[in-house]
Amino acid sequence: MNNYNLIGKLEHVTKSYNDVVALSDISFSIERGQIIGFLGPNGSGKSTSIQLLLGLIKPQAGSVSIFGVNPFYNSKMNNLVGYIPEESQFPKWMTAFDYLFQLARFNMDDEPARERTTQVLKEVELLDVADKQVRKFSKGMRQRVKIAQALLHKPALIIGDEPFNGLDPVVRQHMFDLFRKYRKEYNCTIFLSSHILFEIEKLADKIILVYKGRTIAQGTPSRIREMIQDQPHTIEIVTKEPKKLARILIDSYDFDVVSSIQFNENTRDEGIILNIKTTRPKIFYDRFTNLVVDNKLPIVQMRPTDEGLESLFNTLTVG
Amino acid sequence: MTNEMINSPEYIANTLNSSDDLATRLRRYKVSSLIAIKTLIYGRKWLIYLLLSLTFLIVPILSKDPLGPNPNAKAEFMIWFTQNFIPFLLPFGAFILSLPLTSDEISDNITELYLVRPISRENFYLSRVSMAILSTWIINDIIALIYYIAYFILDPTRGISDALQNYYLYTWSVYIMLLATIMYSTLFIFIGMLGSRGMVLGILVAIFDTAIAPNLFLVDSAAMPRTHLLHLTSEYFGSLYNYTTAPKDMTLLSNHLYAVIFMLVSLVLGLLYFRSKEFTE
Repeated sequence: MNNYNLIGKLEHVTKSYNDVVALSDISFSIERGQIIGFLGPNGSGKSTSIQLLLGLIKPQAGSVSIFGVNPFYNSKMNNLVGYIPEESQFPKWMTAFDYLFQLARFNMDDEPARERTTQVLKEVELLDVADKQVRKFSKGMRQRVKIAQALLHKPALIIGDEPFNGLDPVVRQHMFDLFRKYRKEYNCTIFLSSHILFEIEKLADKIILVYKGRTIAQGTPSRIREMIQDQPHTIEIVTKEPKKLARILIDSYDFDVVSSIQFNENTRDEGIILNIKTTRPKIFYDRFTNLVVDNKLPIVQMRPTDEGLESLFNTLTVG
Repeated sequence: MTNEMINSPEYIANTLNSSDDLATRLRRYKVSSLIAIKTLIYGRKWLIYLLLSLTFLIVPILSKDPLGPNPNAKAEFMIWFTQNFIPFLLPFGAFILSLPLTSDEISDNITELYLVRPISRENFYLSRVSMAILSTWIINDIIALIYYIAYFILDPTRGISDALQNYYLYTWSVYIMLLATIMYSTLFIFIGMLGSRGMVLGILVAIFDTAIAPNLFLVDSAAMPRTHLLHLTSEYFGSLYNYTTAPKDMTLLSNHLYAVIFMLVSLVLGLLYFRSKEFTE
């Protein structure tokens, strides 16, 4: 008899690609009903761990199980899993509705699929643009479509690979509320990777720290925050009104919270990049969402760099 | 079902222990096939193939003597079918239409989006193979129909009514094209499973099949699909086309057996490879 309170497990898993070791004897478990933050810098093995959980790749050593079965040889477990991929993966021809509807039909009949598609589009606030091609969406909108497709069948386990990338603070908060709602109403267990602690600490019950293919610490967000809070932190914000944002930040924060602001040209998207250095990230993030809403600031993108985590991981692994 | 029951341990156990009925498996196959067909249609590679194929018509249309030394439309159509279409256009068409269906989806990380849905890998693969065969066959039928009608229109002694009277010529061609498409599309879908590397290998296989092997060491060899297809053509259209250099022991039955075995080998190898294939970023 399976213990369905233990949703997923990686035990002493090793995975390498040619000479590159992606995971080295990694072990962790996912308990039912939890929201787990899977935290590590880029290249630490987060995506490889997720691909193992989804049955897209096989381990070279160790074992992987989801709901007590080997995910690589069991497509039935996909009835219970929703996956938010990191990369934008959309067939070029699909509208948002078509994309979600076709994917929903793998899980349910046509009529329930149609209903769920409309419902989920409403939940991620994309119903108005349901008939537009996904490839014409902004990065944030595409991210919301990816989150929507993972929620269609009310899965027992939602696995997200950097699901909050490209979301502005207001939409991010909305997605947090949506994940909480799915946990409460549909008993969903949620496993989300990120390289930004402050992105998921408000949402997660437990955080697993992964670095260089190994788990190096696990604990509550407050415990992890205690470990990281002294680390300097740089946040990259893309905005169309950089001067206004800089002025508001200078007026609203003390020097020990925002210690420097740097303007950089943005070659990829519209807007200017502001690199903001903070030594007290908690205070910065606590106040920032309200500042954006109150001052109607047009934030195109916001993402902390790896600096804070990198220094923490160096401390944990070296010291 | 109430919200409290969703994702309860009992719900999870029931989901994992229940077996999918035929209707559910068919629904998933249907969805996967529909996605494949739409991807093919919107990919527009069929349009490139269609236009390239029709460029061969420009010469007879612009020529003062459209049918050249050939006595009539039937003979001209047969020459086009056996010298241009079967040996070159058809394998090229199967390559350009079938291979990207799998290789593009793998390169763009789209395949894994479907594989994390509750469809078995076998079901997904079969939907790709069947839709590649169907679409390639339909496009080939359209190309052959255009040539068939065009040659009858260009023949001053004949016309559309003669084309209708000789419909058997086209219908048997459609059958031969079906066998050819089954072989080539199954092969190229398998090669496309290699992703971006599959495209390079596919080009090499297409060049080997259309240009290198038949002109060098495998000319009129029973190992080549074109030998069987041309022999089939000569069996069905004996008065119009005679494949004199075909291997002596070749029969209609051996041609069909070859087509079925060729398709099964490609299909089984593709399925085995796809079942164990890992999908990384």
